[in-house]
Amino acid sequence: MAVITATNLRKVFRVARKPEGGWARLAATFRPRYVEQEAVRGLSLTVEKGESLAFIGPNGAGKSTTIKMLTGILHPTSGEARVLGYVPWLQRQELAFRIGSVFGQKSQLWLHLPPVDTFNLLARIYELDWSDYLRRRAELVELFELGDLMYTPVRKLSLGQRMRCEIAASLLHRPEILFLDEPTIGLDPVAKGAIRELIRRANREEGVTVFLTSHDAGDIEQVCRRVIIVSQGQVVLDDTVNALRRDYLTTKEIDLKLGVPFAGGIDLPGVSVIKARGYGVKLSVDTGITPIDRVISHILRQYPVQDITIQNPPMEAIIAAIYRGKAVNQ
Amino acid sequence: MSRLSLLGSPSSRMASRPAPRRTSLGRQAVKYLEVARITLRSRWAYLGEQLLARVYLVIIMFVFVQLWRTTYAAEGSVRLSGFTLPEMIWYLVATEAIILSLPRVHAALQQEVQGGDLAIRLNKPYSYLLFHYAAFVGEGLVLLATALGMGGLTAYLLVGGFDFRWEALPVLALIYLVTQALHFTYHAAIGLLAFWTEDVMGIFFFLDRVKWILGGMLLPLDLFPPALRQLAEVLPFREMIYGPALLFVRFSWPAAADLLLRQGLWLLALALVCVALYRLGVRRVDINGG
Repeated sequence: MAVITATNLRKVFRVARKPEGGWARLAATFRPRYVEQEAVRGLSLTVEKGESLAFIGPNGAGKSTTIKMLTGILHPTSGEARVLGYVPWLQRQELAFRIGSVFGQKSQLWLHLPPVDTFNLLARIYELDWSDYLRRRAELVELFELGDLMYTPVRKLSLGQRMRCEIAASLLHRPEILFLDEPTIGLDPVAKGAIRELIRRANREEGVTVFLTSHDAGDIEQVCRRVIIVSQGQVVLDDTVNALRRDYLTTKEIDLKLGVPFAGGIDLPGVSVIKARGYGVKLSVDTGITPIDRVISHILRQYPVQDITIQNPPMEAIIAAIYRGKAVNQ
Repeated sequence: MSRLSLLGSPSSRMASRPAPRRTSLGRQAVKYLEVARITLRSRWAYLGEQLLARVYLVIIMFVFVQLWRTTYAAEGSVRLSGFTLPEMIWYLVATEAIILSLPRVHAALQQEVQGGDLAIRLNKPYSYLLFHYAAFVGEGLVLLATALGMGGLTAYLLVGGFDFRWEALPVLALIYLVTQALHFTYHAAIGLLAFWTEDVMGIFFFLDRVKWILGGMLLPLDLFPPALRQLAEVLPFREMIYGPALLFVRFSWPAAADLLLRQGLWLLALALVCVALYRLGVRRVDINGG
């Protein structure tokens, strides 16, 4: 059963153009000139109940604008959408009872009060039965390991702790769809891992449909089964995460800080040196040719290593690879 | 692009919208009371800072007392336009308490509209304006308590008490709430202009000062020149500052009923303006990007 459908969704923003020079600026105050920016260009998609969908793309791709149209915050310029049967921008309040949302850069928690106060407020806002709410809160406190955090003022929580509370708060009313906009932004790797695990459990164990936007490839690999990649307001890929991993996430980047200056000698198939200076070296590894564990063991045999970081290629590189693939196929 | 949807015609899909949810008035009221309560608690957490910020009110009241003592002495009269010196000072305590108990809702609205926090507010099942009104009431009550407490104590120490009608306290409390609602609609309407303009602070500064002057914040309207008083009579500011402050020092039941009626009419008009601005504005909200 489809829980989200969008057809030819389009959003154009009118942005005032500020001319240079004092007189021109004064004139623009009375006769402002606008330029149109097409953030979303005829986007269509369907999301089935229980799916975990990564909706990803580089900055300015139209991800957040789409999520805001699907949650009813923005009116589209044209096109149609239904979320759980509601037209989001016309029935926003009714839809709000059945969806949850987390915006990584915005907080719904009251800064000067402990999270438990916001939870109590949300119980009233979502008109929950009080005893049912208390049971649900206890479940989430256990699942998200919130314990003492619930009684600590939000301003004293770390970003990772706050984000755990944000996601728990958004699940309080048992939403059928959870929209997450960059939920791991700014988090350290440990906190990112914890947040991804919690989102995955909400999807697998509670059947919550997850609609996640991010430009972190790790969010996609570890949370979602399906991926839609958007670029310049249009869908450029709609496929399974396994297919994305197979076709486009075959490359990893390894950042090394060595104990001695780098002097070459890492001659493995599919491994190339991107950058090397003094003790630092950055490698690109095609894991389809040589597995990452073999590369690391090889390096450790060659050099003393002080620090090592393994990263996915940036989203921009993945999208460039997708375009390259399309060009080759055409 | 393997999963692009093949949807039916727009009209066929429009027919299957879920039925509207019905919520009892009681649950709605509890929702907004909880917003007011949490805002009050949030503000209460910084009571010490609040009281410190009120120290300047002691200075202001001291200056007022000196000015009015000199004026009364120069006039050689116990009453000026019907006000004794203590009544005049307590009138000013009331006007200051009203003004200083108003949270900066215009700034909050501007911040939300332009900073993107509107996204957090709009995806919750409540009325955006009622949410802000409830928060305004909660925060305003803490501000009122500190302003009235500090201003009243200063006035009492400097000029003594006045003949306060304690039996009118519930009506005065009701009038304060309506007064606060009037100010909310005025400030919120200015804040909502952020949907159209980049900075509402300049507009607010001007309109707020107009309200102060024509509302009788620094001087009872009885002392205004006739032309200015006539102008003040036809504007809502009289009901926002002068009317409630006058009742505070010189209460009468007919005057209270008259004030409530006039306040109710202005509240209706300003609330309609607010709702219209919100409905027009929210359609054109441009929260671009993440």
